[in-house]
Amino acid sequence: MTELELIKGCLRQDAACQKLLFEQMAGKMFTVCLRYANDSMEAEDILQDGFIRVFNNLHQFKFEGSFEGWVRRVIVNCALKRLQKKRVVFSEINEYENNNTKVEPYAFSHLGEDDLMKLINNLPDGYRIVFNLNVIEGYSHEEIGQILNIQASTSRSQLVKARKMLQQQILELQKIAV
Amino acid sequence: MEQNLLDKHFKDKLSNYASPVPQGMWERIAAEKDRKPKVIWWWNNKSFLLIGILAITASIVGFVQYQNEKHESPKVTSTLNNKNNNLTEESVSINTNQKAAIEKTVVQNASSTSNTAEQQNKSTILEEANKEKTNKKSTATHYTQNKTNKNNYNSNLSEGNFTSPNTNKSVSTKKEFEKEDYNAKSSISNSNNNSNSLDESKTIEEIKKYNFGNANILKLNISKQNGLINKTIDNKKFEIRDCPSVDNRIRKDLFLEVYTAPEYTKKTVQATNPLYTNYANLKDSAESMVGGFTVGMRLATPLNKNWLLKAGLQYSQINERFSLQKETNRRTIVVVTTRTETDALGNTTIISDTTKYQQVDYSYTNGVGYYKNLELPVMLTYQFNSFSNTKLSLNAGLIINLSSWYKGTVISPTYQLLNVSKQENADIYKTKVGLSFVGSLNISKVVNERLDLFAEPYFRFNITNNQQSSYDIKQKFSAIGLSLGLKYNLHYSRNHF
Repeated sequence: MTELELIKGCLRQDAACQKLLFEQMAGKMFTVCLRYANDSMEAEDILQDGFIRVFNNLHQFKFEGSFEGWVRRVIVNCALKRLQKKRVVFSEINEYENNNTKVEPYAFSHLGEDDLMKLINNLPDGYRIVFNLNVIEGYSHEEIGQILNIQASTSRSQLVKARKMLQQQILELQKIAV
Repeated sequence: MEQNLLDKHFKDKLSNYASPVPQGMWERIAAEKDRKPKVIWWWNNKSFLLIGILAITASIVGFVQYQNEKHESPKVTSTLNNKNNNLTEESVSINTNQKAAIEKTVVQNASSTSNTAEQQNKSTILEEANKEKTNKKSTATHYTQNKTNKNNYNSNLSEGNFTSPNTNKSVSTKKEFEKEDYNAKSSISNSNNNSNSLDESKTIEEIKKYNFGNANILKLNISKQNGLINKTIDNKKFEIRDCPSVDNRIRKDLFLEVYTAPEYTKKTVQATNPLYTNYANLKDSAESMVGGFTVGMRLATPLNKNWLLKAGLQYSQINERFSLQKETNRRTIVVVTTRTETDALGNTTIISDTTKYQQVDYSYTNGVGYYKNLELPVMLTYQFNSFSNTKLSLNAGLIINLSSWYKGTVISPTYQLLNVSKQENADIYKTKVGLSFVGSLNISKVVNERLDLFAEPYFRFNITNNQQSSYDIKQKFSAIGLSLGLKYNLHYSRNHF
């Protein structure tokens, strides 16, 4: 069954098509949820809300661009909405911070997906959200500022801190390995 | 460079990584998915909604029709004299029934008190009194009063039946027995309320004659109950709504109201998702309301004396002004001013002043937008009693949006300026807004027998949002306005009294 047929089936409220769509996308979308959530329970809730929203608003998909991208955007929105309710604090960094930590590529090249997920999940909420939105989802700092209702400079500083913290974690892992 | 490599590593690894999904996730989603949409599925189903509206309308019309038939007047003859004769006959027959019931009550009383001579006397008095009342009743000439009496007789008959068991319980002493009889007599006198016609003093004298104890108590009872009945009669007089016509036709009013209304409109824009907060603020600041208007017509049919049902069709338009200031260019201009100063010793100093300033270019976009709506107002009206040419009524109801379209300039969530026509409407605004609540006060003045002129200040507000749900923005309108119009009675006939 092609993606188009699958979407049309879902629009007809065909349960089999909906289940198939879920099975095809649930894994990737659950990764998205895990990246934003604090724990797996919260990620499950986001996934549930997100897919319900996908099915209820599928008629708004205009068949322009990637369908997976559209679903991913819906899931990210759900995750952000949920996090907004928790009032995530984005601490401002005004002074220039020189990042002296150097991490060679070989230090992280061997890290697998699960390791990277753990590293991301260890980040504080604000760092994690900005890192996810900028590095993985590809939003600019201006867009992140609009999405999260913060200054673009705050987004930048959060990203700097997130990177620094990730590098430190990688160095720690390297030390343990040695 | 290292940062870029690190970022790239994260993105490459995690962008398409699929984590194992917990067991039973789909079952949870399926259960939740099937539960939620049920709340509103019928609203999205046009045919179901239409059938529902038609069914409700048909039920209401059917009910009104049934009520009208139920309240149809009894047949009356063409002359007033004949009417009076018939009415008298009717009254007599009612009194006969009443008499039978009272006799039955007295017989019950008698059997429970070992048939004393005193009780026989009392029953005789009751019969006599009833006869007298019947005679007086035969002089009745007013149809409406007789109709009221009929109701009162029925209620008194019920009272008579109700008191008899109590009587059986309280016959142990003479005093109690007498009281019961006084009450029975009071009922009789009340039943004859056509003229307050039972002469109180005469009745009391009769009671005194037969040594019926404390006449003052009886007088009080009679006065009180007669007073109540008189009050009932006064109220009942004004409850008669349908005057019978000379040709026996029942009057069924149906009004057509045509109106137009200028409106002052207020819009609220609110982002339900932080993603759209800035967009909502920008949209709200760029768009300002410049009022609107409504024109329409509706039919009104009375449900009973005071209540009316109104339904119709109306077109409403809300106008707004669009004015957006947008930054198009920003540049920094550096101005360096150099001057040379030479002091008395011949030393030369070159001074350079550097000034930086930013130049920002803005573009202004102005336009007008129109929200156009085709609507179905359904209202319930309470009309206050009025004996003058000015009538007052209160209306409340719902306005069902049948179709809605926008025309004009609008800013999209991607901050693009769009010229929206009807075809593109669905992308930003809904084509069916949903429901609005409306409440109003109607003041009308009679122009002639068929025509009223009315003014109706009202308010309305959208219950549902008119922005597409995909944008997570709530845009709602509320309005106050003044309807001015004409009310025409379609079923008026000159044969009515």
